[in-house]
This record gives sequence, structure tokens and C-alpha cells, in this order.
Amino acid sequence: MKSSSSEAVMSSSLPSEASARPLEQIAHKPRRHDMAWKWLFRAGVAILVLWVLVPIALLMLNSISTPEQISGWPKTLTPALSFETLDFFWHYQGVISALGNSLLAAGFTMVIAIVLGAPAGYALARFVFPGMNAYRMIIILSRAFPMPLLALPLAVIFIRVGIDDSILGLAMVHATLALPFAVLITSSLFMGIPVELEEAAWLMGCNRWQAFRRVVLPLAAPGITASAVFAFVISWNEVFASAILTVQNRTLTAFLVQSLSESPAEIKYAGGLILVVPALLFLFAIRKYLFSMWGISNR
Amino acid sequence: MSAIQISAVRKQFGKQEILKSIDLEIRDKEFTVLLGPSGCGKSTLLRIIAGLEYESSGSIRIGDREITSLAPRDRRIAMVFQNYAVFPHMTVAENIAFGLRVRKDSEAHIQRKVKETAELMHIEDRLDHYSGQLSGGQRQRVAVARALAMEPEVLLMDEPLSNLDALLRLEMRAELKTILSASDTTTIYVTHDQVEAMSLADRIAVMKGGEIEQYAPPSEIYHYPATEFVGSFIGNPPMNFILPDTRWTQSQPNAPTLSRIHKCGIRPEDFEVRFEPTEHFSPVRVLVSELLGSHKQLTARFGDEMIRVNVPSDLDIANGSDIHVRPMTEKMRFYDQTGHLMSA
Repeated sequence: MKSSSSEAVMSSSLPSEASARPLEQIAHKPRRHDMAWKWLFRAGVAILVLWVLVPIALLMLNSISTPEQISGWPKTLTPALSFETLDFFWHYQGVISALGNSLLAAGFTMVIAIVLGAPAGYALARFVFPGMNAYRMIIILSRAFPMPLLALPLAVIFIRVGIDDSILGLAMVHATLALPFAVLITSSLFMGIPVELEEAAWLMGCNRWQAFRRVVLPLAAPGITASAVFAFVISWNEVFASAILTVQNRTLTAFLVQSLSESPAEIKYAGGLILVVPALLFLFAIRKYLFSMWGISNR
Repeated sequence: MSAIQISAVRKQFGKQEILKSIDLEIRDKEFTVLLGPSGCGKSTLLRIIAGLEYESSGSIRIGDREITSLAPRDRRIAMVFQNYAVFPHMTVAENIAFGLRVRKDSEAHIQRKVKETAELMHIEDRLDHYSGQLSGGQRQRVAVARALAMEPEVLLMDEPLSNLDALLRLEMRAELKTILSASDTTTIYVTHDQVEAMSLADRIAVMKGGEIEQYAPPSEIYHYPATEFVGSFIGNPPMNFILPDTRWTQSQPNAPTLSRIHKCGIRPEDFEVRFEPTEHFSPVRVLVSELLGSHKQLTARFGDEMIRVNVPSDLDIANGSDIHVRPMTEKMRFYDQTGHLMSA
């Protein structure tokens, strides 16, 4: 009874209050509204930033701490600065060659994805051809098959063809993962470059290839670089196909999954750091190009 | 010699006929404007001449060269695009030099040409700038300078002024006219703006529905529209097309037999006006009188039809009043059943 009566009081008081100060509301509402949004926005940004940075910070702290500090409590923000674990990890049997394999596989993936993906992206951007939409659909659909489903049959085929346990074979699999992104990113990139620029170049004496190289390529280069790095990172991070398709020539991810599952925590942290840092550095180095890529595709 | 001869050029897209057998002859050093409403095929025709689109049939010659099947780069044509198409990753100087470098001209010649055309277009102090640092008008100047630096046999312009604001457009129009007539380049210019066409052209080709309705000098287009479409498309307000009035035709020495006349065409400014009933004059009722500065525009009811009459701005005419009008001698045109101008 009491709650319902108080509700009634509230609901009756609300409209009168609203009608009593409509002018004041009009004057103040937008400002209050803006402030609320501003704080909501800041809070959202803070959460997102922490979401990304906290695990990386923990990873870094732990990998330069002594094993006692890692398992101990309370945590400290100023660890003993021990490079023991990193040093141990570095000399761990097979790490260096796994790192080399990862770099090779990612490099091959990058090259295959761009060499095959950029022309496809250009074709989608510049030409109208029958089956164009179906083609675009198929490219996206190729990402719909889960890697676990593909990895085993692929391993069988690879053994039959004789490219099993090879970095190039693995790079081909990684390229199939990276290609859809490469095609779609480069096609939106080329769409953002007005066709008149090319036509102007043709009329000024260029053939198709010259016009592409002198006009389109310089304008698309930042975006192409960005999508190449994207392909690199996809391969660098991929673990499932790597674990199944390579045995002796493990990539770093596959190696870590295999060797570190039973290792102590500090070794896991060190391995994690070795995986994360190159990707971070790479993205940091090309951040300018990433921004300009969005700039072009949004135009 | 760079006269252009376009013979029976047709363009089909699926079942749609965009150009219906276009024949057009452009004399050496002539400035021709392709004028028409959007969708009339004028831009398609220009792009076919440039080699950016392929004709379904027909042939194009420049001078004594057959260019129909040539690639754009072999046609010795320069083009200025509607959106300027200035290369954003090159400076103004590099933009102007681009075609000359592709052509492998000597560096001394390139430098001289860049300087010369930049001065001509008044952008010599912008040579180190990128297009992102330029205003629309300056980009336009770069595009024209780049085209002229090539010393092309033919210059094509696709609505080059339509992206500029009104005042700048007037200024650029006058400047283009001076520069292009001095450059002696055969020019084809596409626009939907009749004022631009009238002001720039040596000859205008008025297009409609993939056909050329009339190809003639501006004054002839204005005073002797070949079809009712041309008369109503050119002129603001358009030409009046009304049923023949015997009171008028008797006073016109060039009038054909009355029975064959379908419509009479009279420009709004070609009426004589009387306040009193006069012989050979017809009474009209003024519905709206608008003062437009230099003249007054009357919208009047003539029988069942509406006509527009321009009168001097100091003439005092109230809305709803009756006046008497007659076309000036020799200013009335006669059109047959098919809408074509009848020869006197």
C-alpha cells in the first residue's frame, strides 16, 4: 500500500514539476546532456584503454620479475628488474628457430596476401563484371570455415603433395586467412581513389600499368602497407593451423603451445612477451599509415 | 591541322541507345560547346572522343588521323575533368610536368613549359603546393595549366566550372575565354549551363536524347532555334511557343502559309507593346509583373496560353491590366508539326 501511494505521489508530482519549469529545462538540458555524454565517453575510453593495457602491463612486469615475485603477493609496480626469466627463455632449446619460422611464415603470408589480394581488390573497385557480387560474397564466406575443420584435411593433402611441415605450406594456409581482409581493404582503398586520376594519367601518355604505378600506387601505398601488416599479424598470431601443420619447423605460437603448457608461469610470461612485443612495435611503426588508411576509405 | 570529324558515332548500353548516330564536324581552332540537359549523352560523346569509352560504331578523325581505335594516350588529346583530377601526391609543378615527363621531353623544355603555363594561369606562386593546400579555383587552374602544357591537338573540357561558386565561375569563364582563344587549340567543352555555352562557344551543339538538335553559332541558336526544344532550352525565360495568330502573321513578311504553321516562336524581348487597342496587335491580360532590374518580366494570358513578355523596367504595368502585344517584324519564327523551324 505504502509503495503504491508513494508512486502515485511521484507520478502526480512529475508532470507538475515538468510544466513548472519548462523554460529552465530548455535552457539547461542540452548542457547537462552534453556533460553526461562527455563523461560517459571518457569512461568508455578509459575502460577500453585499461582493457588493452592492463594485461600487457602485467605481462611485462611479470616477465622481468623474479619467479618469487610472480607467485608472491602483494604485487609490486617496481619489480626487481630480473632478466633471469627472459634470459632463460631466450636460451631455451628451439626458441630462436621458432621465432625465425614465425617471421618467415608471416613474411610469406604478407607477400602472398598482397600479391594476390591487391589485384583482386583493384578489379572489384574498378570494373563491373558478371558475378561480381557473388565473388565478393565468396571472399567473405571463405572466412566462415573454422580452421579446426580445415586443418586436418589440409594436413593430409600437404603430406600427399609433399609440402607438409614446411613454412611455405603454412604460409599458404595463413594467406587464405589473410586474403579476404587484403581484398576487401585494398578494394575500399582503390574505390577511394577517383578513377579520373587514372583517366587523366592515361590521357597524358600513360598506359594502364604506368598510370597505376605513378598515380594509384603512391596514393594507395599507405593502405597497402597497412593491409600487409595486418596479414603479417594474422599469421604471427595464428596458432591452430601452425600447431597441426608443422612438426619440426614450429612457429613461435605453435612452439609455445607445445612446450610451455607444462612450463612454470614465469616462462609463459616471457613467451607471451616475446609474442606480443613485435606485433606491438610493428603496429606502432605503421600507426600513421593505419590512420591514413581509414582516412582514405572513409572519404 | 586538328579539325575533328565525328561520323555516325553510336553508343549502346544494353538495349538503351545513348548516342544515336552522331555526326559532328569541328573546324581547326574552333571552340565547340556540347550543350544539353543531363542524360542527353554529351559527356558520353566527350569520353568517346577521349578514348575513355568505346563507341558501338562510327569513326572519329583528328586532322587526317583516324583515332577511333587508338588508346587514350595515343590520341594527342588533353582533358580537364569536372573534379579537376589534380594528382594529390604531387606538387603543382609536378602535376603540370607530369605528361611532359611521361613523354620524356627534355628537362629544360619541361621547366620552361611549367613556368610558362603557370604564369598564364596565375599560379606561379603556388608551384610548390599540393592540391590539398589549394582552393577549388586554384585546382581548376592547375588542371587547365596541366592540359595546356601538353600542347594538345584537341582540348576536351567536361563541365570544368560546375564545381566553382557563382562569382568565381563568372571570373574563370571570362579568363578561360581569353586564354583558350589565344592558345588556338581546338576545344570541345561540355556543359549544361546555357549562359556558359553562349559566352564561350564559336559553335554550340545542342543535344537531346542522344541526338544533336542544332549545331550553329550562339547567335543563330538564340535567334533561329532549329527546333522547339532548342528554343525552350536556351534563353531565360524560354522562347514563347503559341498557336499562330492571324493578326500577327499578316504583318510578318517572312511568314509561310498559315495552314502549315503549327506553332509560332517568339522571344520574350521581341514583343512590341501598346496600351491602346491597335491594328495587328492582340490583347493579353497581365497576371504577374516582375521587376528584374534591367527589365520587367510580364507573365500574361493570351487566349488559352501563357506567354512571357519582357518590357522596359520603367514601364508602369499593374497586375491584372490589359495590354496589346505584337511580335516585332522579322522576329517571329515558325515551327511545323514535327517541331522543326520552317524556312521562310
